[in-house]
Amino acid sequence: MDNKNQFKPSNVIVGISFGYHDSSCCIMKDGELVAAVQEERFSRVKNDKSFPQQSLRYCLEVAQVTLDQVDCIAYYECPEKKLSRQIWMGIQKGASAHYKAKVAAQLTQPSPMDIIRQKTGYSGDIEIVEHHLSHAASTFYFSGFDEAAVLTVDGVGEWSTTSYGKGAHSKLELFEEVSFPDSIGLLYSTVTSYLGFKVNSGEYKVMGLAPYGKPRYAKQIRQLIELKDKGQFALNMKYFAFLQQECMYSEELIKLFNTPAREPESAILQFHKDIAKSLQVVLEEILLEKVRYLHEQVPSKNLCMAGGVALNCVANGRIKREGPFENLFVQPASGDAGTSLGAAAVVYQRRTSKRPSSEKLKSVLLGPEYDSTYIKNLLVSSNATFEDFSGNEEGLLNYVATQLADGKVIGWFQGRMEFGPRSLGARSILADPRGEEMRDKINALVKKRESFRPFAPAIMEDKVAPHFDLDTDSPFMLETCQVKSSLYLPAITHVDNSARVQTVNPNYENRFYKLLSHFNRITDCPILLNTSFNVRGEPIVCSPLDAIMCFVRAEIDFLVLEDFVLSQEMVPELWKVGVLNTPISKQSDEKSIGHAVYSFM
Amino acid sequence: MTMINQYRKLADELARDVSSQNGSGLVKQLIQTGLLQVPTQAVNNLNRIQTEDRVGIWKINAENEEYVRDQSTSKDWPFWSALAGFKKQKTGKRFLFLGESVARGMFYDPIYTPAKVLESLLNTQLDEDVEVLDFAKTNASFETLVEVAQGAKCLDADGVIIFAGNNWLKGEGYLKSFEDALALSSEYKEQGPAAIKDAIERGIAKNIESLVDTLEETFTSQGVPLYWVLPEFNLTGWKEITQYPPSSIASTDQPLWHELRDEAMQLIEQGQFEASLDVIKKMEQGDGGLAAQTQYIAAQAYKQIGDDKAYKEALERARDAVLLNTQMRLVPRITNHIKQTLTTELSRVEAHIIDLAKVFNDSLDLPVAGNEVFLDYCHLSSTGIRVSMAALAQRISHQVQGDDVHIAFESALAPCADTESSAHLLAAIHNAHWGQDIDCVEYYCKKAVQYNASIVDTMTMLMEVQNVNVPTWMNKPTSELLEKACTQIQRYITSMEFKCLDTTLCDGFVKAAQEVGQDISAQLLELQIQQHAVEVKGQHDLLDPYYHVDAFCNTQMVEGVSKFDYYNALSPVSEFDFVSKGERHLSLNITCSSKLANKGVTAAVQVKVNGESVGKIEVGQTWSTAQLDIDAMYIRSGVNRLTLEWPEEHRINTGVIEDNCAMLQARQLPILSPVFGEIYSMTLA
Ligand SMILES: [Fe+2]
Repeated sequence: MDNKNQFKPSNVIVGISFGYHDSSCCIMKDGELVAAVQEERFSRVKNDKSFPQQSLRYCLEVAQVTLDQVDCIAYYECPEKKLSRQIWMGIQKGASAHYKAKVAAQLTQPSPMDIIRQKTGYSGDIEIVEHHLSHAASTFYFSGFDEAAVLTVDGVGEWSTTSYGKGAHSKLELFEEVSFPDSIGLLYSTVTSYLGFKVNSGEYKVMGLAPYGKPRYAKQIRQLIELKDKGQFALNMKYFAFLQQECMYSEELIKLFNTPAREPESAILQFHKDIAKSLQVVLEEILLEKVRYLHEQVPSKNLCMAGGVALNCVANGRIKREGPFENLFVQPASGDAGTSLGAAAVVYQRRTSKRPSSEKLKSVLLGPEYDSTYIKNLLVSSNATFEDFSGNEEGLLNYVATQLADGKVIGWFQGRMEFGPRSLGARSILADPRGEEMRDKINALVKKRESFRPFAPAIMEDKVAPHFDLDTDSPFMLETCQVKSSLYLPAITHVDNSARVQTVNPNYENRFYKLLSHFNRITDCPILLNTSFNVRGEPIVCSPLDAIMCFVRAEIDFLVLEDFVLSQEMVPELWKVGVLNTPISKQSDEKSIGHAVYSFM
Repeated sequence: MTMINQYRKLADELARDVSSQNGSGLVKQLIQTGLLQVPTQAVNNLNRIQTEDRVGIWKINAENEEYVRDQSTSKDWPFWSALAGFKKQKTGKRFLFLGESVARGMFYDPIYTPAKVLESLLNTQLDEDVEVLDFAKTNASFETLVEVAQGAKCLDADGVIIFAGNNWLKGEGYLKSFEDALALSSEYKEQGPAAIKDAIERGIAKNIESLVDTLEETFTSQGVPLYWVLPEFNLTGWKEITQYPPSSIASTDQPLWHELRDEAMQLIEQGQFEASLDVIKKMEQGDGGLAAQTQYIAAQAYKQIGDDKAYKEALERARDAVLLNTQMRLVPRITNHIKQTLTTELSRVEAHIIDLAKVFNDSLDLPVAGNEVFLDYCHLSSTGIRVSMAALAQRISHQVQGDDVHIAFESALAPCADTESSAHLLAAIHNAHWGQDIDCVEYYCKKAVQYNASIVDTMTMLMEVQNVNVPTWMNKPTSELLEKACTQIQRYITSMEFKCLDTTLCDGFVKAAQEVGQDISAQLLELQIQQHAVEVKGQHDLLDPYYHVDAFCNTQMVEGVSKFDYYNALSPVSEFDFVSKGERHLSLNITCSSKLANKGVTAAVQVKVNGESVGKIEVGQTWSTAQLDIDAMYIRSGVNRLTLEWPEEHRINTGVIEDNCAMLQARQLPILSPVFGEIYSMTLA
């Protein structure tokens, strides 16, 4: 009998975030980030917030450790501070009875630590890392900067909504914060909600809508927020209702714009585009001012950003171009999913006094992969017709590049899945960016979404110059830049001639790079349209089975699963029936019933 | 200090206090005592408003006063009868037929149903034309019955039949509606699990009362007679998965109970039945009559002694004991408490009760019903359907025409051999999936083949579908199966999302095929090795529900369903299957614990493969990981069984009552089944 503990690696830290939005889990072994994934990818519940049990199991498997070998679980926010903010909201004058009841119920809820222990039986250490420190660490420790100023901006975590910090070597400290309810994230979400999009997920749509508008309402938007000394600002609460009601904005906001809020799914008018543009402009102004303030406090060349607001790549682009910092690093998973990374990094630093990683995060391919044998078995067991390119990568790439050049849409599934909200060539839908009709085809078929949103281009890293006005690499699609290509690229060019570019490096996204290169050989265009591999309302695909279902549902022309290619024309009828009967995203209440049940018992 | 800061300070202090150990207790107490009001979740409310224009899935078309199936409910259609539509106005006599899956005629439906049998009997018997509208629904709950009854009020029925009572045991639902969780937890502390049983039964009784109120209001008070078919349970044919006494009563008595059990079983083996009954009495003192296992042993003794009445009562107690088995899914059943409560309630509306237990005894001379009339725990065989519908028709005829005819069940419609064959195959699948042993599964498989030898083809295709772990719609043989199989099987296959290695079922298929001279064993073995062999897969996860589950009621670690993300051993021996080529040694890697252990104390778990001991691993109170090498000599080609025998020392738990009280106070169903050990991960490579 062996006891595995004898061979235990030192310092296994698991980072976990759950309970609010987008649960995630990561694992760090001796300071090295080995795996990270969001629970929704496994559970198929969009934005799943439950304890990330499958993600944890996946992380342990990749790290080749068992649960008893974990030294510490790092949790991404302080429950007591969060409770304080919730209680504070409950004792506000005018707080709704409904909200008060929710707060009262919250008082007896099990703590996140209790949930971790109950769900997994884990009896080791659990450490708490504050929400904004988790955000800050998720960017600084993975930036590759030895020292940097750090800015985190989100809706709200515990009490903080914005924090200013400084990182040097292994040390990271936050020196100022802005407290709830004053929040740039909530300002953005409130207008998002006024524009008829979902809070917590529709914000990027507002950003996409902005270029179609004029900043006609910037003056009014500026009335919503007052800039103050140092890093501070304050919301003008008469325009916001989220402290008292189940609604983000107040009647005053409607009066201010002199227009009722847009009904979800109704027509988008010029007014809405103008509001979006005005909001974007004001957001950029505020961020630029606060970034300048931060630079005064921390006169570094480097800036690190994280938090939901840092996903606004248009603002990031301006901060980089017009702000006082030379270099900018934005955590690719800037939303709350990324906090598990930061929490783990902080705990690693606390326990070893060492910096978890001195290198810049090169790739977010930190999720599950499925080898060709597995996929082949799956395809053989099913009644699929497929092409097998095993051992013939050249043949595969030629075939796919030719289909792309012929106007076909490809579901592209290769290697480890991306961590964070963007598809970067591991779970992507690809198409030729040169056709006018490509954008409409994908919007209509695959995305079933608003047609105003453009797609992002992926380009060979060494071929950027003639096509985009971009001075550094952009592997995570976190900034926008101007398109200067001589090619006509309607499907990826925004109305203001900007694009959100992903530069593809041959070392980190090898096969994707090769595909771009093959496409370039045929077409003299080193660029592909790249969008996330999912349909509207569905988490990005994780497993080959998820990919097959999405491919069938969205009627994508070809599906490339590692070395194998399936064609839409060959999809068996029964698959269509089966997919039709499978929900796009499992609902949480369905989750509580489970999927392994007979429908008649 | 500004207002905002004052509030903030207050909130900070309160949050700190609540988060502290004492604080959280205090808040809980304040809430439990009602001093601090927290809204409870919605309580069961049976009187939901029913729109006037529909009955079940059928909606009225205002233009021609005809009910047709509402497309928007098409997802639910498979749960109801295949009736396409009906007129609001009746022509002859009209009876409504409400109920659960038993009333649907599960396994025969939609080809052959109790409602059709009844309709044909009544048409022969009554002077007028008779129409029986089949509104029975698989899975019907109290709420379904109420809704259907209310929707059907305007159908001008001459009688309403309700064939239900199996689907009412849903512990957690009742728990949510307990007004006084604190009182229940203290009752539990004093009286043990019996208090919870009482509370659940009170909840059921309340629902029954409310249901009967609705029926009175909608039918009996309007002069529409009510016929209630009281279901029966397959007492001799159905075996519960082994049941242990609830952990909380047993606490320190658990080891003693296990000793007594061994003694009682030994005495029975030696033919000393009276002496065994004395030992059983002592077991009952320990388990409060709430352990099914004790009652099964008692039944065995009474049967040998020849005491039919005591035999039946012991089996009934075994059936009813599982009410407290909160860790497993229960198969539907009617308990003595439900029968009694329902009978009492129905007497106030002068309903006609057709008690199937009595009907089976009178018609077939079956004092204790078994596989003669059942296909599983509660669904009837065609004989069961014919006997019960004949008795019902006789009662209706008497009520309508005042005659006193005897209707022989032989005169009722019978299904054809093909339908019987398919029904028995489905019964075999269902029994296998709900934990019945190979004898039971083989019995139904062989019956299926006897009715129609060509069903072996279907069995072979099913074997392939189940052995490939992809969704059924992706399976190669599925389309062929859907082309060839009859409607019942098609419907079953397309709605079946439960997959497991299904060794019992496949073994049943192999045995049945042998009956008609076909050998499919080599095909099965090849399939198993090709799809599942550890050597082919590289690493094999023994906790994957596909492999650890041999029965649907045993599923654990099902995402979103299970409370824990680890495996709980609910019996002293845990069994897992794996497939191997049997050519080389395998390495077992396991992370496990036994929370019942005392801190710092470890004990050994015995590991066996195919009954042979292959080594021991140490377990303590917290997770620990061990590796064990299993020599090739213990491993055979094909399916192997790995068993873990949890340490006897770890059968005492003192903290369980406190834990359960806390869960009750939080309106959660407490964990009453004992847990002998836990496994977080277990792989073979
Ligand atoms: Fe955040």
